[in-house]
Amino acid sequence: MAEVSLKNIVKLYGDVRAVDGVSLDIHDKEFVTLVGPSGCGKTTTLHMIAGLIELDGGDILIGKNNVSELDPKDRDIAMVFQNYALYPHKSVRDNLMFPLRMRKIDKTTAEQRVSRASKILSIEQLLERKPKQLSGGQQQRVALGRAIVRDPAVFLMDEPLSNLDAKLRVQMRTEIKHLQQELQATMIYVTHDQIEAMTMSDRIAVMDKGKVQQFGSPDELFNRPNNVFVAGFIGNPPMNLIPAQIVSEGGSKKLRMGQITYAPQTGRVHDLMNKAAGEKVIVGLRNTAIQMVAPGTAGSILTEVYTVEPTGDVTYVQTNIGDKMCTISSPDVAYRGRLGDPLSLRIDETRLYLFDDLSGKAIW
Amino acid sequence: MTRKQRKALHATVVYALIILLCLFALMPLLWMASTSFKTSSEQFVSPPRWIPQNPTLEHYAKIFFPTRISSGSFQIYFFNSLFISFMTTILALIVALPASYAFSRFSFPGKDAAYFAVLGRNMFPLIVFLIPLFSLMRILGWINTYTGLIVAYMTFTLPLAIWLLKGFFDGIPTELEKAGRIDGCTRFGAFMRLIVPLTASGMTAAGVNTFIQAWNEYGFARQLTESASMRTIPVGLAYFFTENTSDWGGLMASAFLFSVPVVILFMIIQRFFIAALTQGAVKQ
Repeated sequence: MAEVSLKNIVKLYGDVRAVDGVSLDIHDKEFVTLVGPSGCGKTTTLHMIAGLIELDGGDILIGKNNVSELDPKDRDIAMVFQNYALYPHKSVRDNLMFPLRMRKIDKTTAEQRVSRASKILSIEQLLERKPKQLSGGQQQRVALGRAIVRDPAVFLMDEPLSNLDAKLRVQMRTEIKHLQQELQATMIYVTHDQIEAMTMSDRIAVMDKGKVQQFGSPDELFNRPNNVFVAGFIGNPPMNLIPAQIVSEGGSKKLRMGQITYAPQTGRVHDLMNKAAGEKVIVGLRNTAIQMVAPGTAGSILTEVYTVEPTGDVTYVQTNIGDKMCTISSPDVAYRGRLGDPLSLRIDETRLYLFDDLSGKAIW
Repeated sequence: MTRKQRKALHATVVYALIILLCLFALMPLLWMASTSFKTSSEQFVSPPRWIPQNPTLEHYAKIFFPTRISSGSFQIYFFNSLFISFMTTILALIVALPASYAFSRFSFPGKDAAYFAVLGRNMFPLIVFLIPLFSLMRILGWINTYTGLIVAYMTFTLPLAIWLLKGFFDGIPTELEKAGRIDGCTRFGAFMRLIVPLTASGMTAAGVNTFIQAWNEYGFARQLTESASMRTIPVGLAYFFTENTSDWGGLMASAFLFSVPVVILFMIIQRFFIAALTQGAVKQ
């Protein structure tokens, strides 16, 4: 296993900067996820690490070696693809043997490794079958097996769970994370699903428009997002982002969100407002940072129910705050408000975020 | 009419139509086979007979051991046809395989124009190419040679072979080569070890199609060969008619033997062929 370093890597497609100066230092035995919407450059970045796409700038180091110019086969990596890319004309056993044969590993060792990998993934009884005869989940395991037998310096995973149904996806998520810890592997994982990223990773790189927006632990990304993009991308439901204006009324600063003028109660929010460069800001509030309170509670704001969405263990309420549709969690799971029912909401100011409207950067 | 009766009627009509169509297609072939076993006098009796009364092999003997010096024997034509068709198939596949892979996988300047040019060949009748090809072959000294014919046959065999194989490559996910390259292959190695085996049925289809096209070709073979020893069967068949005689028996015997390899070949591979055509055409 080894650490991986991306140093300012660039990929151009015509005028489009698909990957625009990405730098990441990934530690040995670390599980790092590249996450972002489609077209953000995460898959291109992964393919550049693999050597399947050539760099237009920057360097990639695996361990101590600069691999930027090396062929994929010489980079000591293994990769699992979204569609598994099993060799359809070979049996499962031959699929697992193929990378070992290519590397001229002697037969006894190769067979030992295949049997060890198939034991880890419980696919021993499938070895003589062809990929076509396997279910999606089994194919996924074989694809993992083909990566494991290699014992590579780095595992690369390109949306490996996207083709599985929802239930199996959750199960395989657990298994891959377990596997990574059991093998003590360095793993770089690409997904568009922030829940996968949050649940599996040691650290996450959130990407957008070819750039890394923030690189940090799931907790950091959730609690201290660098900018509006990260705030809106990480977390389910996503953070409520409400356009607002800082106004002075009666000598103190307030936040005007559409019709609502909100007077912050705590020094913390006043500090943030004082640090804001301009008048226009974006207020960020997670669904749990807005609480439904009894009507008439001091400092509460008044809105109406738009819809109520029970999910079983949580009930979400949708409502407009300052012309922006927001999602909040009802403290009472059994709450079943109807369209137009009045709501009194209290904002948890310790968990209020302010972002600069122009740059989108968080104000700390 | 009950539902069951309606179904039965429907089936009867469908089968009757199918049988009619089959007869329409098969009758000339059966007539050809029948005539080849008839004596010269029986060929023209009225009313015509389907089953020869005195079956004879004289026409077959005649085509294998001709009495006239000027005409070549059937076995020479047969060998020429077989050799030329076989070599055409091999050469077409050797060229079409990498070409269609490149069209399927790579992006390069002028790719669309090149692909259009390949397929665009089919828009012109082959005869248009005959005179330029003839001049070219004369300059190269390839008139009346196997090489000349085989190269000339590329003009009409390659476009279809490339198109057919490209459809196959398009259907194979690019991740397979990527996985192969990560697992230890070079780009070429991944192509040979992982992709080529998957196109076996496509190659069979393209190969058989090429073979049949070359086997049936007449115009080029007629113009680009001179001596009897270089004739292919279709050209040889034309020589059964001279100014004074029409040798129907010899013609039918030769034509019958001429059809046999194609029919056998097609029977063996028709399953692949249909699979190949649909697989290439329909995106999965």
